[in-house]
Amino acid sequence: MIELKDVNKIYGKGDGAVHALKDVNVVIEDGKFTAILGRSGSGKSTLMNIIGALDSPTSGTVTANGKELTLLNQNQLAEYRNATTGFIFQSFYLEPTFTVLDNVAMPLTIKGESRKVRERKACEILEKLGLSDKTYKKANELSGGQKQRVSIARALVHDPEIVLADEPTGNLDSVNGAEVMKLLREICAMGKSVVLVTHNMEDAKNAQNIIRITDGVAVMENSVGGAGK
Amino acid sequence: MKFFDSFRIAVHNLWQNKSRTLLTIIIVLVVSALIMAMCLLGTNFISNNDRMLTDMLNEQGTTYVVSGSYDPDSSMREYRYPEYRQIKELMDIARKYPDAVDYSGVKMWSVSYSDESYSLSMRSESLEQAVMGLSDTVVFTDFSFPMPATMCAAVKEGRTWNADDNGSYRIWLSQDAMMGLAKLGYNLKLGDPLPISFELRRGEDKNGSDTVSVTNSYTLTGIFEKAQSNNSWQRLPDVYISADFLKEFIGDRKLYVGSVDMGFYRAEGTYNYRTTVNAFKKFVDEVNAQLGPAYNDEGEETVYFSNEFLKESRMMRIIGLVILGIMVILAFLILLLSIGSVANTIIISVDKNRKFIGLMKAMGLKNKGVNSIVYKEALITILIGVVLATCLVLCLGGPMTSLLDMILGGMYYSSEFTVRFTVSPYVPICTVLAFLGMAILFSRGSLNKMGKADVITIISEVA
Repeated sequence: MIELKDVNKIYGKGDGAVHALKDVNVVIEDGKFTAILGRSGSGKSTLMNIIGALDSPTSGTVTANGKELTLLNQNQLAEYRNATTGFIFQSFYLEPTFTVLDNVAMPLTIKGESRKVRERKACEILEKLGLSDKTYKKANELSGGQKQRVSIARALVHDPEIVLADEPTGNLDSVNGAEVMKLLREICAMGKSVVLVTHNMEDAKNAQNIIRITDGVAVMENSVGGAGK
Repeated sequence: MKFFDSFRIAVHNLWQNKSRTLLTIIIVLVVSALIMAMCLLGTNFISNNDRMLTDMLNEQGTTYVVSGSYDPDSSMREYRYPEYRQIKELMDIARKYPDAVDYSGVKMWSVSYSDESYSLSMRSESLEQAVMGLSDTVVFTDFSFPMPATMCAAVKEGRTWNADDNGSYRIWLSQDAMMGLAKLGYNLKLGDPLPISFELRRGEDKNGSDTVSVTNSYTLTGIFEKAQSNNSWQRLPDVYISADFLKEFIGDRKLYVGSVDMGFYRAEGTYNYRTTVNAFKKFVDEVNAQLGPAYNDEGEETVYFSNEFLKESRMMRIIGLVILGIMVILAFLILLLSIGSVANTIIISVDKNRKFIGLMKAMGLKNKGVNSIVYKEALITILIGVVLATCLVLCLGGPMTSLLDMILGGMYYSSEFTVRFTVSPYVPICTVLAFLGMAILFSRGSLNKMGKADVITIISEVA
């Protein structure tokens, strides 16, 4: 479980300062699908980044399974991310000149896994996602939908506790977008926590919990729909 | 992240930016080759110097010189040589430096100046004329010396000097001396006695009241062949006897010694040049510390005792060190001027790969891991550049040697000044370390900035 207490995030100083998050108090429950819903510029990506320990709050505390993330230094946060978190970005963020296999195995490479183990795990996950035939292709040779699935594979290869997806369908057509949402539900059904950042209500309906955020103020709701159905 | 994986990523990044990588390698290659050439010129200059000095030492050996001193407290500026007692101290010190001294003695004629104008002379009742002719080549030896064949004594009859002969009344004569005596009708053989008298006379003593003399009977113990000396000014001794008896004979009278007959002279390959030169320095320093300071005619402090080789070679050694120093400084300056290009490679690599670095940091790569990849990129380009430069220097070594031999041989002492392009492994290793060290130093700011930036900031900037 990840808990945010009185979290504020302010960018800049003085008159030009932007108060992106204001006294946010939210909980990300284990094994649940949580959506962060808000318009563009509402602070939803900022909230996701703080949940995923990619960014640190200006004030307040972030606690993950009893460990206060705000007290960790950069290296400790990096270790935490590698061990517990998988990221899926809107722009995929694949290294175009690496193969699909190398891209997917990257979290394990960073962890220091042996080549044999990481290639095995990467191949397994690619097979599950129907991308076995693309294993040795360069990432820049794939379509948008394939790239996002590779991105999902990379987020799962190291068996994280939580998967954070920032507008994963933003650059995809409706068919591929639906496919990605289906995969996210399946990930949640595997017992992992999924946090989806979206401005799309339809995508948010897949979640069990919704955090609505407007101008930096976050309100938690329980959704009627969500993963599991 | 494992070493091999970060290395693989570094190689991948370099390959993705081939033109930048190639340019950096070329710069490193050119600069490294220049640095190596300068270091080689500098070290070759030193080794040529050493070679010439070694040749000089092999051919001529060296001698030690005892100078006098002006009395700084005297208005008359009296000039005085060291006392005989001090020369004995010098001889005692010389025993401790077998690497620096091959022969040692005091010639008769030099023991002649005294405070009370005493002079020491030698004569023989039965061999007066012969001995008078030899008197200025008699050497008083004060310790056992090996009589090296290169200097004076390949003993042909009898035996060589040994430590037991100190204080004895035995005499060694050269074959020349024997021939001279034979011409005068004295046909001596081994074991024959040879009476020799010594007289101390004060210069002003006309009636002989202040004159003392002693006659010792010396047994002819050995006949030796004098070696050929390359120095025409050096008169090799014909007579060797122990001077121990002089201690009592001279007593408290002050006798001053104008020169010593002491030197080093060995065949090439029988000694180590550096060890020997160091021994020269230590020996001279110890003697001068014992004798105390001397003064020149202007009252400035100088030394009593010196080594001719050290004096002559000093300037050459200084020039060699200065040249080497200049080359090292120039090499360092070239390195400094070029380091910006290698540091820029790191900075550009960091900048161009911001997204990739940010993504890897998002997935858990620590700052140390980022730095490791970036430094490996720098190391690979530097290593390739330096290795190619080393190969270039070695390949061009032959033609360059011939060219430089022609140019420099004529300029430098008109002798065989040579430059050998043999690259010591230290030079490329030091070049790599210098490049890498300075590249890291100059790029630290950029890497620190990247390290401190929030991960999402990096990714967002690029997005």
